Parts: sequence; C-alpha cells; structure tokens
Amino acid sequence: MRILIVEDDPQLGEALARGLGALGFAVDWFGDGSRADGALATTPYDAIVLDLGLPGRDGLHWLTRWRSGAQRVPVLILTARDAVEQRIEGLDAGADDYLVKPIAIPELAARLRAVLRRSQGRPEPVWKHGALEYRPAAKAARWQGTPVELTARECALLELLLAHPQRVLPRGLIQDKLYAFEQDIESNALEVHVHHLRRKIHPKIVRTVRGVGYALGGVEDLSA
Amino acid sequence: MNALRGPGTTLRRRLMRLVLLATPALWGLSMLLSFLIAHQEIDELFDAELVRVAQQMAGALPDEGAAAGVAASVPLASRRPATHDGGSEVKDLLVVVWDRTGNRLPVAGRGASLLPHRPGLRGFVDLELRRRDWRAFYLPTEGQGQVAVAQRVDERRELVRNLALGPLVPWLLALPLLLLALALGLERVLRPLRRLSAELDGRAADDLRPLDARGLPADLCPLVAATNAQFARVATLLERERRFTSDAAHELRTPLAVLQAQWDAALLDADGAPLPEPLRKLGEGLARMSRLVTQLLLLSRVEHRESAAPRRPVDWSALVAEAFTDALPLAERRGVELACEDRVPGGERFPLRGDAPLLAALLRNLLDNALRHSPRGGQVTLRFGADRLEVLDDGPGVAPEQLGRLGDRFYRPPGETEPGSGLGLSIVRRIADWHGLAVDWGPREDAPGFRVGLRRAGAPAAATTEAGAAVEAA
Repeated sequence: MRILIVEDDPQLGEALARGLGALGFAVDWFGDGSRADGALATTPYDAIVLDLGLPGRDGLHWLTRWRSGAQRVPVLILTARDAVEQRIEGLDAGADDYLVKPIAIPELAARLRAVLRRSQGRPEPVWKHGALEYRPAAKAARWQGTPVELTARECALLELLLAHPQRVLPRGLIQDKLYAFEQDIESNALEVHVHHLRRKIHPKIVRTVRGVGYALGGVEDLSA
Repeated sequence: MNALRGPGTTLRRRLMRLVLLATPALWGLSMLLSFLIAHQEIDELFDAELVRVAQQMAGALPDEGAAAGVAASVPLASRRPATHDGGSEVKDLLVVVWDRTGNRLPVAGRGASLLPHRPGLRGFVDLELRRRDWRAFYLPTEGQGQVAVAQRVDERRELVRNLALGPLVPWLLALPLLLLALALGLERVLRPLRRLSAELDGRAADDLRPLDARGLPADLCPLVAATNAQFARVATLLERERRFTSDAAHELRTPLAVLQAQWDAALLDADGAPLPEPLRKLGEGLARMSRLVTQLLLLSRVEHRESAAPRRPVDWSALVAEAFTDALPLAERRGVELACEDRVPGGERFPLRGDAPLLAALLRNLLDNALRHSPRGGQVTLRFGADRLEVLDDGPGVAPEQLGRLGDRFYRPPGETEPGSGLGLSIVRRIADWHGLAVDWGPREDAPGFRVGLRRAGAPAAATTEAGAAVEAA
C-alpha cells in the first residue's frame, strides 16, 4: 500500500515514514503541499496522511482542492488542531478521518487500514486482522490460512466489523446495515450471527459490549 | 459583591441605623430645647402676671383709707392671666395688701395671713409657707403701704409643664410616621443598589458582561463604569491566559508527536525485541505526558467555554458508542469489561440538551477513571436512569478522608497504579456544571465498589450517597 505523508516537521515526518514503513506501508513523505500535490498527480497513492499547519497554503486548502478536482483518494488529517470546530471543518472538507497529535504509529496504521477498507475507490484487496484474512471482493475469509465458510449475513457482519476495527458499533447501527430493507427481524438474529462467527473463527473475534453493541476483538486476544 | 448584602455591614443597614437613630435623637433634643424655652417663657409670663396683678392692686388704691373698699371691688376672677384659662391659677393667687402701718387689709381669702409683711421691699421673693414653695412679688404702694401677690410654685410648675408640653404632642405623634417614611424612602432609594448587587451576586464567575447602567442613579454610574472597566480588564486577562494555555498545549503537541513517533519507529525497528527497563519506563512516561497535555487542553477548553455554545437534544447511544470506543483499548489492556445498563428499560435515557463533544469527553473521563481503578476481571458499568447517569466500578474505592479532595486538580489518591493526570474529575465537574448537572461520588450501594453520578442540579441525590461525599458541582 502506498501512502503519501504531508508533514512539515522533519523529525515527525521522518519518524512517521520510518514507522509506517516498518509496518509494511510504502511511504512517500513531503514537507509542503505543492510538492505533495505534484507527486499525487503522477503517483497512484492509496491514502494520504495530511498535516494542516503547513508552510504556505495550509492542509485544508490542498484537501479542498483535491476533492473539488475529483481526487477520491482517502485522506487522513493528522494535526495539532484539536478543537471540535476544526475537526468538523476538516471532515466537511472531505477528510476520511481526523486524528490529533500525538498519535502512536500502530494506531495511525490501524486508522489508515480502516480508512482504506471503507474507501470507495480502490479498497484494500486483503484485509488482515491477526490470523484472519478477508477478501472483500470474493467475500472469502481465512483463519490461520484455512478457508472459513460464511453465510452472506455473516460476511456482511464481519466486513462491517473489519471496516471499523477500533470502534464499538451500536446494535442499532449494525442491524440497519445488515437488514437494510427487511421488516421482521428476529430480535436475537444478530446474536445468532455473532455466535456463528465466534464458533467458526475464534471465540474472541467479536467482543460484546453489553448494553451498547459489538466490537471487533483485539489482535492480541485472537493470538491466544 | 456580598458587601452590600452580608450581615452587619450592609450600606442599607448602616444608613437605616444612622437615620433611624439620629432622627429621634435630634428630634428629642429639639423637643427638649423647645420645651425648655417654652418653660422659660411661660415662667416669665407668670412672673409678669404677678407684677401686673400687684400693679393693678396698687394702682387701684387711691389712699390707704379706702383700701378695703377698693380691694373688695377688685374681683380676683378677672385677674386671670389673659392668655390662659383654668380657674385654679387664679384661685391659687394669694393677694395681700398692707396699709402704711402694716395692717393687712382683708383682700384675699385664706392663707393671706401667711405672707410676711416686708415693708419697702420691691421685687420677687421665693418663700416657704406651710411647707410649700411660693413665689411672691412685693410692691410698695404710693401711700407707703404694700401689695404682695404670691403663687404656689408646684402648681405653677405643673401649669408651666402642661402649657409647654401641649405643643409637643403633635410632634411626638409625627415622629413614628416620619421614621416610617424615612425607612420606606431609604428602601426605595437603595433599590437600584440592591438590584445591582443581586445581579452581581447571581453571576457565574466567568460572566464578565458589562453591567447595565440604565435606570441607575447618576451617582452609581461611576461605580458601574469602574466595575465594567475592571470586567473588561479581567476578560482580557482571562482571554490572554486561555490563549496561552491553549497555545502552550498546542505547541506541546508537535514535539510530543515527534517523541511519540520516534519512539514508535524505534520500537518497530526493534521488531518486538524486549525493551530494557529504562526504555520501557521512557515509553510509559511519554504516554503519560501525552495524556496530561491532552487533558490540560481539554480542561482549558471547558473552563473557558462560551456559555452560548449550541445545546441540542443528546443522542446518548451515539455518545456511549463513541466513549466506549475510546475506552476500549484501556479496558482491553486492563482486562476489564465495559457495560452499559438501563435502569428504566424502554424509558428514555436521561433526557438532556447539551453539547455532544463535551458530553462525550465527560463520559470518556468517567469511564477512564473507573477503568483505572478496576481490578483485572472486573466490570465498569455506565448506568442510565430516567434522571441520572452513573459510572460504577468494582474497585477498592477511595478512602473516606480522600473523598473530599477527589475533584481537586492534579489530585491523585495515593497508591494509584495507573498513571492518570489527576484532571479527569475536574473536567467532568466543569462539563457537568456547564450543563446544569451536579456530580457526586462515593461507595456504591448495591455492591462493593465506587460510583460517580451525574444528575440535574437540585434533584435529590441517590439514596445512600448522602452518607458518602455528595459534592455539588461548584
């Protein structure tokens, strides 16, 4: 996966590039917007990590410009500006996620993957979560290399969880996504699907957050 | 701002006391003076009367021989002082006439024999006759006889007193009315001052809007203007401080991000090799520093929040999902289960209008605190009631003597294993306060553990928390 980092602080940019590189990303790092813009015109990136406080034109300017130019590549803002209004402004300008400094590189990588999974353009072909591999195009899952037979509903549920690997998803939201146009949903239908995923993949693949909903189990838990 | 209302030294009370004490005192003094003057004048009037009666008697005696006849022809009843009535006055006048040889002519009735003859004396004499004081006027006649007119002093005094006191009665009656009018008038005049003090008193500490000087008396306007100028200075100062805190935290973020990224990159380079102890501690310190800066910035934001921020109906399920998402990594790391409960299933969760990002921060801080104090394998519960929400853990709680200090900034009870910033409850309190909610905490009632609750300020606290430390949001 090829990532474009736009960050004017040399030490931060260097460390991000090195850290993400160690995590398997191919990283190009630029210190200002116009050079990044030039690179974006010639190179097919999968995602952009964009700082807002850039010398010259700031990050929002570039984001707005890319979006108005039909540039669909997922953009993840990484900034020291943490006010709610700034966050809203960033998301409104077309950012796919908004992260506030400082952030741990593994966290940034996870957010990048999630953004890539949700992206409309060229989604990540293989989604990995610990020993789990999922190919969204083929709706095929493998656990520790072994194919897992999943129903369409189970696939949809797994895909939803994998697309939001670090979020607690409210029950209502999951039901809306899974049963978009259906009327009579059995009240325990969701529990049944969760139960099946756990049985077929790993008991801790889905974490129940009682009273709220479900979350994807942590990678550390799955290795146990 | 309590100086106008506190006990003892209020301006209103002082003014009231001054007026209500000084007025009767001055009133009394002037009454006393006018009484004394009247007394004096009436006294002189009586003396003059004695002289007049004596002169009339003396003038009515053409010669000594006819004295008896003349005396008889002067009816004493007509000798009354013209200005006053009251027969007793004249009844008590004693008139004696002596001829040249000192024989007393029988002019007045009983008692006349008591007056001593003082040949040749002209003037007033104070006498004691039959153990009573008398005032007498002696006047020699042209025929070398003598006339004496005397009056009992005690009776004269009573008369004088009555005459002098009479005019004072209406004044005495007017006094309470005057005092009442003064009190009411003062009350009315001081009303703008009290309105002003009530307005100042009712203000939030960060409400620095200028005071409204309209309708205030002109002499209060300089005070209001000075207060407003001071408000403006304080507002500038606060704004500068807020900007500094915000800038400082903001400026800290970038170097922290550098440290964090370099640290992470180094760890990734090491590729999972176990870290030497000092390096591990460095990492922990870094995490703690990041958290502290984040919390400081949040606190600075909520403390300087404009009260005009939008308040919308709160969608708790979205907020809960967001807060739980943020709390999940810590919960996983500590092996604590997160749960949300509805005390009134089917009913609406704690309806509230507010600022969603702030309430999410509040929930996040409450959950974070609870997670930090839960034992491995424990559970942290966010519980909604119809009119409150609570966060419960099953940790060891807090020693009673530390309960009171929990909301203090940077206070962390001794023996905490998870490094926190000590700002969480301050943030919670401030956000709660901003939403008109009260925060209380104490041991939970249904199981061992600790609870922090939020309810509308003024609503009754949970049944058993009165025993614990119920702390209203300041």
